[in-house]
Amino acid sequence: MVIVGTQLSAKTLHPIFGNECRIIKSSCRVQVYLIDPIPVYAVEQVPNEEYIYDYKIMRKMEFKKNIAKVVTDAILDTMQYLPLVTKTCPFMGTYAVKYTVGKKTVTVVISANPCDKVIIFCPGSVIDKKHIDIKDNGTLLAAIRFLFNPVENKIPGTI
Amino acid sequence: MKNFKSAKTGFYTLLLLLIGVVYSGSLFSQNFYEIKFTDRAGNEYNAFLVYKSESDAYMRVAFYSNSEYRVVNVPCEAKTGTLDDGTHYFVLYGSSPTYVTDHNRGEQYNPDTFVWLWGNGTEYGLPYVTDDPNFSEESFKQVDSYTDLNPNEFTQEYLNQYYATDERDFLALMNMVNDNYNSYTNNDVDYNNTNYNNENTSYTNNNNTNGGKVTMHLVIVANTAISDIGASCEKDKQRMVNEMEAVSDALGITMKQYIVDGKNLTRSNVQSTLSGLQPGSNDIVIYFYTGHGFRWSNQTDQYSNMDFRYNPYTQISEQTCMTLSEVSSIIQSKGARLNISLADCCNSDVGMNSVSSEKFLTSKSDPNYDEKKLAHLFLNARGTIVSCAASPGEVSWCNEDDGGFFMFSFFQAFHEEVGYLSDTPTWDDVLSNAKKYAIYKTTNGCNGCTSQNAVKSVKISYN
Repeated sequence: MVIVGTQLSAKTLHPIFGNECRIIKSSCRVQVYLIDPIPVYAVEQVPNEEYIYDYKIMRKMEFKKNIAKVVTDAILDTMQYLPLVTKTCPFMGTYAVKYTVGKKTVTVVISANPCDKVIIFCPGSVIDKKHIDIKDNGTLLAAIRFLFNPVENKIPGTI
Repeated sequence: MKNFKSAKTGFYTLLLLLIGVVYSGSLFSQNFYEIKFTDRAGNEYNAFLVYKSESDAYMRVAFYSNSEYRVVNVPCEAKTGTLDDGTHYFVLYGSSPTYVTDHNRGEQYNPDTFVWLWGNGTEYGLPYVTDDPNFSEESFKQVDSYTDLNPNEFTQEYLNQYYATDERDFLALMNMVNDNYNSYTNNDVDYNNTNYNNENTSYTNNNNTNGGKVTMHLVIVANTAISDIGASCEKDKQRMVNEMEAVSDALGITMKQYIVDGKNLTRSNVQSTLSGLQPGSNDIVIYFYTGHGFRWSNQTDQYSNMDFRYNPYTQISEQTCMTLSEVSSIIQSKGARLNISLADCCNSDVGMNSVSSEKFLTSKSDPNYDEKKLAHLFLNARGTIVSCAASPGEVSWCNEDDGGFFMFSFFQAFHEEVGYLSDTPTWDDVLSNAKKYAIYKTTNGCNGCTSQNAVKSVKISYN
């Protein structure tokens, strides 16, 4: 009837990022991007423009691990994700967050309100190109907005 | 007694869910079940469950109280969801029981709550039951049996265990049994015949155009190739095809399918499909869209824009989408008798202005519908229906198991309306209940869902 205790090994894995969670936790520097909503095919990309997973980068910032902690905590917070249901609205790229350890990267491309979703890119991993919805008005977007504009935005969870 | 605690380590999490907020997914269609269980004192109970939707179900529980036979009617609500450890649950709450049989003064019945639990890739087993309003862990006990009933096998004697002979639902269930019996004895009704009076009803199709035949033109536009919701759209597409094939078979009418899906999904393909429709004046046209949807920031039309991009690299523009209103107008211009346009998609602001350049149990085709009611909806109805899954500014929700919540709710409502236990069916009731059930699914927790309130226009007259 009911499965008991079979999730033991799974419990050690992050439900969203699995083993690749360690890349996010270990990355010394974190890149955060403001991106165009629609990706551009590689052959159509403008040579002098920068792209991340085919999304044109509008603004790029890099943070030390401790400064980016507010975003990293939100990305690793399983409560921010909706793994069982999906909104039927089109993904519109807004931000991307990239973690790097050696040659391994985890990049989270984010579609912001009102169609809050992410696509996870992690080449060579089972989570590569994983689509998952995130909660409306969650802490992830608030954390990224704080990093981009700490004067006018607050750290999620603070008053 | 089976030990509930050993079956579910996350009992306390479940307990919180039982008491508080829960996610309501979907998951039965109108069906009949029998549950046999025993309480701690050894008293045996037989329950007959009639399940229409999460918010519309009831149970007849039969038992002996001091050698006196008792039957209680217990309205039920169902909630389903998943615990943090991945265990799925389905909870059926009973409430406000009333006695169907005589009973002694002061005799009370505590309503039962049933809980099914199952893991990924595993079948659900026998549910647990408790009549403890506090859901104490010790009070849960596994039931003795749980059976999905085949209504074709109902007998008067069986139903009389739970119903008095003059009760409305008893009569409706017996009608169902008799109709099924008649169908096996080659007493089918030919709805393509210009006159198909059946028993004491008088559903008459007097429209002889198109040679007296009725054809259902089913147009399905499904974004099955899009990466995030393609699987859900495929589910919706298959469900729609199966359901409408069952309806057309039951009514004996012709069905023509026009499917635009996968990488064929473009605005021009949808337009050419709609342009190519040539329904007769007595025909039915059903348009169904499942995929992404949105609204322009400056859009005034209350219905969704359907996003016909299967590839996220395609720029969003007026050339890649079409509003449900536009589709409905095209369909209406074709002159069919009954036009139905449905879209299961979001209706939320895309953040851009319009630019002119541009398992529990899955739903199944319910064989228990009353063909006279089907005929009333599909053959006696004339007019236009338009409905999309969400109000302006709202998103709609789906999952890979059940497809779109709106479409799932639509078929729950449809099954209920054409079932033997309902009154005279109307399309307005189908759409109203679809809206109600989708709201119920998305507002009872749903692990983060926001409420989706379908928009509808039903302008239908009946012969």
